Amino acid sequence: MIFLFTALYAEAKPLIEHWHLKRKEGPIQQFENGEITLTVTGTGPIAAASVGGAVLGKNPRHADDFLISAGICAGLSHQKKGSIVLIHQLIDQNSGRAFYPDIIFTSLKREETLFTGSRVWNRESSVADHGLYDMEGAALFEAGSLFLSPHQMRFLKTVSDTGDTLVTPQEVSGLMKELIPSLEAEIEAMRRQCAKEEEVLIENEEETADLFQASLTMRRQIHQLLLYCTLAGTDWKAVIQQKIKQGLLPAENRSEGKKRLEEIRHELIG
Amino acid sequence: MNSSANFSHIYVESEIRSDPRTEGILARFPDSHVILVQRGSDVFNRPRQSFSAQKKSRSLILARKHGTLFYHGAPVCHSFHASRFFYTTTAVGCLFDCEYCWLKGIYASASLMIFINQEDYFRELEELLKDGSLFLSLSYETDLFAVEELTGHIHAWASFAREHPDLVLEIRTKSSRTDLFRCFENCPNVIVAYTLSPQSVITAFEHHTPSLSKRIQAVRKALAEGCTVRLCLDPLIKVNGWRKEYEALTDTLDQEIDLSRIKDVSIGSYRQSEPYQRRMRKRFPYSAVIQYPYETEDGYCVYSDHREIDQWMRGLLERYMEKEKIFSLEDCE
Ligand code: SF4
Repeated sequence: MIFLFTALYAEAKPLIEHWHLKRKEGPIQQFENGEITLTVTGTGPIAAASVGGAVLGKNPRHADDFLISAGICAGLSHQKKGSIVLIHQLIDQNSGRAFYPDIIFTSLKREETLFTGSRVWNRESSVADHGLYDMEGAALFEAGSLFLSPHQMRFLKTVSDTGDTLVTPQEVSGLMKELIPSLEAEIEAMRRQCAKEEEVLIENEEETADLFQASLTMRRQIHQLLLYCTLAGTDWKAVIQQKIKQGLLPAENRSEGKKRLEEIRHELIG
Repeated sequence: MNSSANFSHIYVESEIRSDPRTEGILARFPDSHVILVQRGSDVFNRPRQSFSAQKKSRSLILARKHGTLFYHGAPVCHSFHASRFFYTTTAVGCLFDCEYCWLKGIYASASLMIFINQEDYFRELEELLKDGSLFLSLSYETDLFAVEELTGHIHAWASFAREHPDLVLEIRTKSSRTDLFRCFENCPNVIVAYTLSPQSVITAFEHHTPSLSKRIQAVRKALAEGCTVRLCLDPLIKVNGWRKEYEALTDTLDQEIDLSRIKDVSIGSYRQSEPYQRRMRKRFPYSAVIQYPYETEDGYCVYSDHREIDQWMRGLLERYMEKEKIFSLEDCE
């Protein structure tokens, strides 16, 4: 599942249209299409962390799930309006804590630090004097860290202003529309970054353990032995079949099962 | 330097940003993103990192090492009869990728963290040396040969060892580079310790490391240039037909290397502290060497017949060299 987050509805609107997302029932503003769940958190770090935590905590998580936060921000270092930037460091202005998403694959060249504060940026009171500024990023990362690895989170920003100017909802939606191609490319990069490795399946594990009248501890031992043999390419099934042919398996009782297991272990791993 | 060393992101502690050593390293990677951080450990020790994902593109962390700089050697490491045995880490993380590496049990990060405050190590070590000679192993948590271009640590340690004959330094490596031996001139107390495995083990589990034949060539060159050389047939890994594999390995060593000129050989079958092994099993479900059904003995995961294996290996080597030169873990206790 791709968990997209924006702070404002005006940011979400072009994305909802682009991916044909449908409104989901519930108190949180969410839109989905089966593959993407887009959540509008509301403004500020508390809204971002609580809504982010609620969404990620409720859904079953998989190794190939990832979070992408996309939205506007203030550029504090005279970045051009509409500049698209990937975030490699998020600093919570209130606590001073810093967070680092892993950027393993990306299509973007431009990266910067994002400061997150609980108020609209103010030249006089803010410690942030370079990079970018928003009111949600670091909080969403911190909440997301409870559920996801740093390589499963990505923050993508488009510069809307210099921090002390107002932006209209129409302008916000316009900037987000221009962000869509980069967002699509980053989704692809994240798919690669979070690709699941193929699972190792041990065939007929339960049935095999039953042949030994195995206790729970024996089942764990059998699992580890068969897993190793499968990974090492050792043909454990042939050895079991041979024991069945010789009438040595299934075991009459657990103590005989233990004896057989020891013999088979010896045959398989010496 | 290892060819896979190409860091897209370099995290640098703010306090060392303008240090010339930092500048020197950064100059090698003009295209990398440089991120200033308070503590390198804030990046290295982040929760929930994925080693497997990170190793596809490693990051570099430049830091100053604080706190303990020298650690007492663990009982599962060879001390070679030294009464004072320490190890230290001037870099953590490795450009090589051995599946069985204990770093994968200790740390969740695939990043390479380099500590640049070499002078603090030397200052503290001079204090330790006041209490007598000691044996110091340098590269338990990295392969220093592979990152010498970045760190310059080997050159620095060799100079220090030259001036401190009471110190015996061991630098373990799987590298095949041969251009560093000159810095060990007049340093009989620096031991270059080559980890050698059968090629089948290298291919299966020691990813991005030089082949056996390249390592053997490096050993020969090291001997030719007068280095003190140790061979480490450790960890011995049970692969299919492992006895034949290790017999072939010792035969090859006998044919290719003048073993009489080797200082000594360490042997030892795979062992891993149980908590690390548990973590590695969770992190690397697809690794045969990690998923092997080891037995737990005194808090370590070992082969059930590890004593016999070590004895067998010792017997094998005794065909080629004096037994006094062969060290197994039991000899070191
Ligand atoms: S060379 Fe040594 S430190 Fe590097 S990965 Fe292999 S075992 Fe670990």
